[in-house]
Amino acid sequence: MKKTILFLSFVAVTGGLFAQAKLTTTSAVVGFDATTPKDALPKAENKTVIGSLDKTTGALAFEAAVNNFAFSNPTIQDHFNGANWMNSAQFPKFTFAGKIDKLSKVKFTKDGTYKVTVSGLLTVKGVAKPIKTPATITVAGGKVTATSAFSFKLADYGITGAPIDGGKVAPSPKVTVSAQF
Amino acid sequence: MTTTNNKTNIAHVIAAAVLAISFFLQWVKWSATGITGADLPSGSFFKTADAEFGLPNPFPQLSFLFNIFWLIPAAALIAAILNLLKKNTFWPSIIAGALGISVVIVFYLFSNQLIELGTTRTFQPWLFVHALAAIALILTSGNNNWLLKAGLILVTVLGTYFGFNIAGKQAEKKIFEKTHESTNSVKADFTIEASALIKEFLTNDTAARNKYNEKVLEVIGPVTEVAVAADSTSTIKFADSTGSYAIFSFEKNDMPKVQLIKTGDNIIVKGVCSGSIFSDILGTTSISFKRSVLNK
Repeated sequence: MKKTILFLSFVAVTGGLFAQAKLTTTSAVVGFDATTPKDALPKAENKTVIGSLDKTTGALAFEAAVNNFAFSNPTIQDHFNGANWMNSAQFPKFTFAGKIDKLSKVKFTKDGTYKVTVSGLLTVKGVAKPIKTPATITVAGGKVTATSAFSFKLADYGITGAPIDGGKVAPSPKVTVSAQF
Repeated sequence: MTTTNNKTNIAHVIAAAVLAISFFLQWVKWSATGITGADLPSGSFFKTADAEFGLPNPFPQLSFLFNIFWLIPAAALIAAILNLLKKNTFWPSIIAGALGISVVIVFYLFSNQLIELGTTRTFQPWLFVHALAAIALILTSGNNNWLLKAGLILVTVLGTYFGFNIAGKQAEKKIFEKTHESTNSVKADFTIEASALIKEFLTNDTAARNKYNEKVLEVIGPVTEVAVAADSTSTIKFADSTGSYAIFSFEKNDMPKVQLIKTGDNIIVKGVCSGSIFSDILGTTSISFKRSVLNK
């Protein structure tokens, strides 16, 4: 009986430690900018992105509802979600799953700004491609913030069309990520 | 101009018949949807463009003008009958032919614009048959003034082409300068308790998405989390006992009001529903809202 209680206590304590190690957020902000000199409209933000960061393994993951990218123009928003573009009805989320390379560079117990590289798989419209991007981890007063900016080729994810060829949509949109865990 | 012809012109009758019949046949395929010439005056043309490609008639108040294209089969029929009666067919032929040429050019130019939206268009043979029949009807009409007939065809082609481009520029300006109406000024489509909304999505996600996506919802309930990001944007969350939640995002200028909300406060939030996703990270369902405003 004592052994059982001891074992359960151990599970509870280690479980608690692991829970603390994995930080999550449901309000990360992801910006999508496919503007060009010809068209300033294909630009949107999603402020309800789900993210997680494991401080012990460096595992980093994000999930963004495609339909929650808010564009200023209703028609552009419709087109973005439409079957020929992101097809949000069939592929409702963008995901990223990867890790912080050289995690030892980041001291989660010490306030500071740490430049790191993040690598992993970015999934858009059901297609997963590896990406590698610089990111910044900021630790301040026990709070961890991760930011990054990168671009990806729409063609790599099977997204092509006349608006890209005609210079109205950038072939490699810029993505910004800001997550406060 | 004479009022009678000496003989029936079979070529003219055939051109009139082909023009009238081809008007009701498929001219183009937008992705997999077939569109006939008659779809423009019947309204199906812009209904399909709106439903499938988000491209509505930019000038709906003028849609009654498209009824003029019903004159194509009507005038072609009159031309054929007059010809069989050995009467002069000049004016009905000109009306049917010119309108036929115009509508073919409108279909051609509009369908090419759809390519810019990332879709495909495939022209069907009847589009070209209709164009040829329209030209043939004008050329075989009773009047022998070939210069006048050629001039009318040229004026129709150029007038339609430039008219379409001018209207197209205006339409593009109107569509792309439009912004979303402020959620504050939009009446809610639904008012619902947060827990009931979450339950509806958990019970049948597809049905809930069909019911609520892009609709304005007023959601009532106790707040379970308020988050303010470094850039002053903020979110308010209503979660149920399973951890599934509805989350509303606010703009920077709402931050002072959002900051006053505390966990446990009963509030009403209005926002545009973006549907739900199942989060593999959290193991819960997330229902997100954009362009949200605080009601109380």
